[in-house]
Amino acid sequence: MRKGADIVLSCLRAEGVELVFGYPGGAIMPLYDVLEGSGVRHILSRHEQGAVFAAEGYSRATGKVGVAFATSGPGATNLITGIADAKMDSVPLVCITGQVRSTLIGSDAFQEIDVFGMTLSLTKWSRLVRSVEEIPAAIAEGFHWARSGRPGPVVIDIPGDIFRTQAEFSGPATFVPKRAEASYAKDTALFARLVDLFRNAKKPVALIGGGAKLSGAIEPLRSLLDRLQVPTCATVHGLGAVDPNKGFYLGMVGMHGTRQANLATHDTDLLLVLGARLDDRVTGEPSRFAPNAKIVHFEIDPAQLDRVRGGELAVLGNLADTIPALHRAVIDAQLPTWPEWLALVKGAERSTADATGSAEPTVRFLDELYSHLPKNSIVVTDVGQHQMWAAQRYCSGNPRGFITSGGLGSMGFGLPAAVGAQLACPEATVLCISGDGGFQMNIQELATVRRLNLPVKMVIINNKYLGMVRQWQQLFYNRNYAETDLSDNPDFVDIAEAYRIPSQRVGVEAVAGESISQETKHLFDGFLQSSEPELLVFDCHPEANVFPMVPTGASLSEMLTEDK
Amino acid sequence: MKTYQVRYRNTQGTFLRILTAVQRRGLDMSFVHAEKSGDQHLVTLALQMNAKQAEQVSRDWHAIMDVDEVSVSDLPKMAASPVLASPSRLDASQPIPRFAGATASA
Repeated sequence: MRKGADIVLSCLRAEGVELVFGYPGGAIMPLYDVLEGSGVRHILSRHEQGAVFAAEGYSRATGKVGVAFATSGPGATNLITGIADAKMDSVPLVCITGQVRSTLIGSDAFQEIDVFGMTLSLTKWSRLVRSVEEIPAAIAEGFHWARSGRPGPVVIDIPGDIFRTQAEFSGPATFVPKRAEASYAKDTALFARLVDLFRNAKKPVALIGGGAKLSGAIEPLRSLLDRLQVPTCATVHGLGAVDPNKGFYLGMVGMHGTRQANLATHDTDLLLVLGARLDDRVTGEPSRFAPNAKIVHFEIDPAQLDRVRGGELAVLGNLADTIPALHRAVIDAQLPTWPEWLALVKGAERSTADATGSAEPTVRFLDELYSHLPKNSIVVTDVGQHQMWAAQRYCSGNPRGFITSGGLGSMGFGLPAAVGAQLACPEATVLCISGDGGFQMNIQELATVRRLNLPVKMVIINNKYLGMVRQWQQLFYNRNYAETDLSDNPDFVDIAEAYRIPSQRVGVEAVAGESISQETKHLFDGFLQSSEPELLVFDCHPEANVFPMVPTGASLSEMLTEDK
Repeated sequence: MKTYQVRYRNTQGTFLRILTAVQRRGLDMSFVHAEKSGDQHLVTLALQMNAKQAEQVSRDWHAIMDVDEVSVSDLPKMAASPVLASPSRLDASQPIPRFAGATASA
């Protein structure tokens, strides 16, 4: 006979779980009581939101399912943002929440909350476990849905008495779905149509999204793109999927994408979308997105097809199957090449506008920092202007090397996600880039960093504003900087010292001059190569703006490229 | 206004997810009826949606794990009094396919 809590941990081990992130409390105490010796390592965060973002960072860095524990009531509600974040960015996540004992459910008991009801629209699947015998099936099914198809979050809510109840346990369950995932990978007529579209295209463009990484199809994708030689851009989640050194790579597309990528995507007559859901941050005004293009959409989630704009052709299925199928169709076909089109999109008049004026020091800082990063480093960002600069300047071909909150845009994501990424990849250099606003939203996770001696390298782009909001206020609200002034921030160096984390501060003078000084280069080397966690505060221009920028309602071709 | 029918396995939360797909769009549900139908369940909803909303809601329904089939039909005249309307008396409905585009090979 085994307690329900033991059964939970055994089933987690059977799913390959080695690490969970969480924070204990009353309802989930029985689960914590049996952690020792279970083979599951628990990482204590300092806020449940920190735990769920760390589980996300772990998952995004590895592709494995991230697991977070929280107690009932406020513990569960503190997971909500992370669950929503995982939903928007297709992160496989299993959250196990404690619940009040079964006889109290529905009585507004102490720390009782209907987490099942609250997360219905945020989860792929969820379950309130009603008996100890249900546990193996619930965990098997939860993990299946978390990782299959378009990955996403699930919630398994377990009352405290179920954790304590004993039952016979014959082993973990397996789950077989009642409906198969459809795939068009074997539809040769479909790929023949697609080859015809390429034959007739004058200005094809490939747009790569995060699905390319989730599917594990990076090598087939790169082989396909090498064969096609079409101008190629990436969403923020697609960064690293394409080798950035390839001549056909245009950089990031979208609201803060490069001029090359945005203009090419606007002008294309055939847009090959691979694993991107065409979020409005990518398309600009959806009704004016790629106005002359036939869109061919490779996607695993049927709900994303024709969602933003009607497509010419939908290729449903896992990219790991459909990209090789397309490659086979393309190999034998005598496709043209498009050298004039590629020369136009990469030409001087469309080339990336380097930052000028007040943004230039920040961009130089990031460029220099990136140049000192070892191969296979992981960059994790928070949300805001720094995120966009970090994405624009990202130049690595590590497919899981850029981790950011894209669809939900959750401030406070960066530091805890970096914790998860570092635990996932202990040998990698993990660089966490935050703004001064977002860093403070989960600043308590510095305690987690210190306790575990994680050598995370944390950078704060400190402009003493809620920078991205201030930018919009400057450009669209007549410089009415309402509630975006953070000039009374605490001294982050002092805070780091309180957490016993080495830290230092530099200003724009460190990156001034024709070339970066040796002193700055040594500082960056020392910072990145330290075996300790380190914090580097970069005091930058307070009113620098991120450009290019596609304003609301505008098409990708209508980028702002300078301050008004 | 049209009548939508969603056939589903009555697992925990599935019925609520079907309703959530509608309510998150701020749409009024003037009629909802769920009943057992064979070894599954069937929910009938009368909804006023434009074409894009109908497409999106249908796709969201299809994405729910235990939903098997979604169909649409014109609202029967008798549903002017929704309490009297019965799903079994609805005109023949049109299935809404799960996937756009070419035929799937599972």
